[in-house]
Amino acid sequence: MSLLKVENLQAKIEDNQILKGLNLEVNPGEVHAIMGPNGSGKSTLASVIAGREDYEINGGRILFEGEDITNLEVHERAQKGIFLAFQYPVEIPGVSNANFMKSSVNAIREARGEEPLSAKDFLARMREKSALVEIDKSFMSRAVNEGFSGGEKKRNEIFQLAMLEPKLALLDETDSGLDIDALKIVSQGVNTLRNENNAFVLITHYQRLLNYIVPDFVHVLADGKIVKSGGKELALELEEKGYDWVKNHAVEEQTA
Amino acid sequence: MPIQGNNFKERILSSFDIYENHLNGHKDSAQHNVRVDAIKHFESKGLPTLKNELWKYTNVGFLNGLDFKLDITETNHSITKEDIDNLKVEGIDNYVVIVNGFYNDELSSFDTTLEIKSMKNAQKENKDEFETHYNKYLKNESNVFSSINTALSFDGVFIKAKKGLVEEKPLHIINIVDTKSGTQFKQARNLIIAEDNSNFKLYETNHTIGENTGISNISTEIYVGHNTHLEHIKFQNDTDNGIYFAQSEAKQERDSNYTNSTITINGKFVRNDLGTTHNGENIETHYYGYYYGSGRNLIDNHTMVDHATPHCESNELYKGVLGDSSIGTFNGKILVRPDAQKTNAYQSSKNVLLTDTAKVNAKPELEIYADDVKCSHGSSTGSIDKDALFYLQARGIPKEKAKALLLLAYSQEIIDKITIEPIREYITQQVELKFGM
Repeated sequence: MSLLKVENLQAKIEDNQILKGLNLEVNPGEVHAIMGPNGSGKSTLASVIAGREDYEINGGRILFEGEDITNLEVHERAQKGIFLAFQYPVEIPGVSNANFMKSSVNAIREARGEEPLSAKDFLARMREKSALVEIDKSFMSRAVNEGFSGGEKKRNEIFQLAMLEPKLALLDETDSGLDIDALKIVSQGVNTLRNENNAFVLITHYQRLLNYIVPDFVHVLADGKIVKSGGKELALELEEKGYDWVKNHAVEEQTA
Repeated sequence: MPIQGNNFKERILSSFDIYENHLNGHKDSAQHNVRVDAIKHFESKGLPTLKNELWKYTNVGFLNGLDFKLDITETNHSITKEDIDNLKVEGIDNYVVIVNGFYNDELSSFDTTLEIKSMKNAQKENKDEFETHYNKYLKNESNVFSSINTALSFDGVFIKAKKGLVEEKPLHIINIVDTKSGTQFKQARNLIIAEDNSNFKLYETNHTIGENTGISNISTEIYVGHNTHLEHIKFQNDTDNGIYFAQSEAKQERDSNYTNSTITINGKFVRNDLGTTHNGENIETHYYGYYYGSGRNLIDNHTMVDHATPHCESNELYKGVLGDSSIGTFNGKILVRPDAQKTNAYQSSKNVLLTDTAKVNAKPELEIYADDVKCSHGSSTGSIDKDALFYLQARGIPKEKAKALLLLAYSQEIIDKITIEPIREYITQQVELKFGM
């Protein structure tokens, strides 16, 4: 059984149809990259899988471990093991990172019928996972993302990913706005976390990230659909030929 | 049968008649003249209507429909030490208790360098201070609830810090109205004198105990001497039987710092009038407020900083969260008089509406008559941050819990201004409980 199966997904925001019949299947242990030009619907796909209510799904469905989750609430999806690393992580003044993660970890445990983590175990886990993305101790008492640099925000996303150990992680342009050092740290974090039981979907505009996190599959999204899929070499081809190549290619296929 | 219509005014006036009949010929005392002036003022004005600019958002006409008692002498009550134990804050060992407007020595407990006594006793024993400060700061002419208090309050608490006194231990003032035997209208009158170079902290709470409606009308005058630091916290978490009017007026001398934090998280009706007048240079005034309305709560905060002297600073931040069908009002006025050059005055009010039926009235006012000043005010009203809510939910936190986390964080900016740790923690806990955390 696949971990994630997106079938003929159509989604719109207000009158703007963004996803126009998208199919995607992700199995445990796989890393998929979704590439595409600006406005092709990459971030929408990530948001819709995570359950953002701003979008209306007007066709198709999303299956997670065989279960139709199309109508589940955001937190229910997260509790089942879907994680979205945000392109623009939100600043939450007044809520400390520690408090945020404690609420998050325990909400997920509670949904699974597990006892809350003890303070001691929680702290130990925080320490272990923050080391993974080289986050300083003082960060725990700081408000979530408040005053963080772009790189710190992205590292915080990967830290949260490490804390929650989801089955499926959607990384929405995690590479954008990262300098090379931060990109390395983030990539190393992801590479440490990937295993045969979880899966990653990397949404990215550039091929650069894929030098560090090597995908099993690359898909090209254009105008709300996946127009081309292939192995990791597709990313290099894209980099070389540009997105116009795919767009033209897609038009040719449609008219053929 | 309760009289309808102008019931409230008649009740107050007839209580005054009863009081005068009990005087037995002391009618020409100075104190009596003050009361007569005040009742005359109330008689001419009556209850404010929505046409009154200071009451345009808050209708007090409901007072006419209440069948209450206003006793001019101390009456029996049922408040016990156990009741007080429930109202105390762990870590705050000094507290004075006022029951039905009267200072209660038996229920109070303190070991402090502050001078604390009933207003009745202070009137006899602290004649000089009374002459200097009593009824000098309260704005009877613009607020009839102050007039009513001046006319018909007979006790309260007197607190004095003498020159140079630094008292580390905060004092908790517990105001109780006992409504077990029926609807009550109770008034306390407090006088707080912080002499030059003193430094102390007050924590004030109000409570209605009993099944019936309790109306409290509490007037507090505060003198803040030269180079004095006074932190004054008001925490209002009354039952839905509580109707609360409070007027607090301070006079600040040069180099003084008065910081007031008013936090309201429950009560059927709350009206806080908070004011300060500057009388010297280099004065700082800080007002912080947080209010959370649920059900049909009405919470109205009126503030006034009177910059009468140059080189002073005031800084004001009020934040509100209004849910269900609650109503919140913030009306903050900064007055900069012609002499008050080099004034720095800032005011900000922010509100979050949780429902379509909740309502907020925000009215910031700046009145500036000096030309070399820095003043700003701002007001915003919004709903809960959808992006932040999505972010928290995307980490598995259910929507209601996520909202609670965000609202608690929103309140924290105000609560964190409190420098007394046990009180800061206590209020945080109470706000958490309110949000179901």
